[in-house]
Amino acid sequence: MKLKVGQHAPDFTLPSHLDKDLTMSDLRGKTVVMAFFPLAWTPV
Amino acid sequence: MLLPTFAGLNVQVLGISVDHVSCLKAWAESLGGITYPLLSDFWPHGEVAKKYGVLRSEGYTERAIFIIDKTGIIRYIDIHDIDDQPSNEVLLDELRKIIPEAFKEKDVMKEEESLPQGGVVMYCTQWCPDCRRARVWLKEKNIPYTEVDITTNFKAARQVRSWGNGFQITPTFDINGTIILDFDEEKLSEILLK
Repeated sequence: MKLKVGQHAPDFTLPSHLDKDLTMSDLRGKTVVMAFFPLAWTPV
Repeated sequence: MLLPTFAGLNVQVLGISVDHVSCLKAWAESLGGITYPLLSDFWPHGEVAKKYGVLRSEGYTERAIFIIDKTGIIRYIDIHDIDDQPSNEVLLDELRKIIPEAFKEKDVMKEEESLPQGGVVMYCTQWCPDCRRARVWLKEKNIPYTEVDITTNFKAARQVRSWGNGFQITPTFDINGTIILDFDEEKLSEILLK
C-alpha cells in the first residue's frame, strides 16, 4: 500500500535510541520530518 | 546528515530504520550522539515501514522522507535512490512551503538563548512518556516549574547531554543547581517534598 500526500500519517509507537518510546500522534502541533534509512551505519 | 537545526522551526526530526535499538545506540554513539530520536522498527519487523509503503523485499527500508504537518497530514513524500543522502536544502524548501510562518519568526535562533536558572527547571521533549508522567506528578504536588523543550533549544540539548555524560536523558531536572536525571520520583521527593 502506497501512501499519498494529503492522507493522514499512520500512527505508531516505536522504541528510540534515546531509551524512550515515541508515539507519532504525540507530535501533533509540530511539523515532523520522518526520515527512513535502510540501515544503521549508512548516511541518514 | 539531517540538520538538527530544523528544530528551531518547531520541526521534529525522526530517523527510522529496521535496526535493533542497541544497534542504533552504538551507531549514534559512533557519530558523537544524535539529538533527534532514531526509531527502531525492528519488531514486528518493518511494521511501520510497511504502513508507510517503504519496506523493501530485502527486509530493509527505502531511503525516504515524509513531512507531516501539525495536524498529522502527510504533505511531502520523497523516496529517493538508496545511495543518495537526503538534501537539507530541498527539505528546507519544502518546509518553507508548509510552514512559511515559522521561517519568519526569529526563534530559529534559539541557539543563543540563555537557560533558565533557579527553581525547578525540567528539560524535556514533547513526546517522551516519562516527561508526561513528570508533568502530572509536579502538578499533583503543586510544584511550580519551568519547562525547556530540548528539541527546539540546542543549548539546552547540549547541556542535558553534558549532565547525562553523553546521554540525552529526558526529563532532566535542574533544581537550584541540583541535577536529577530522569523522572526519579524518590530523588525528586527528597528535594521537593521535604
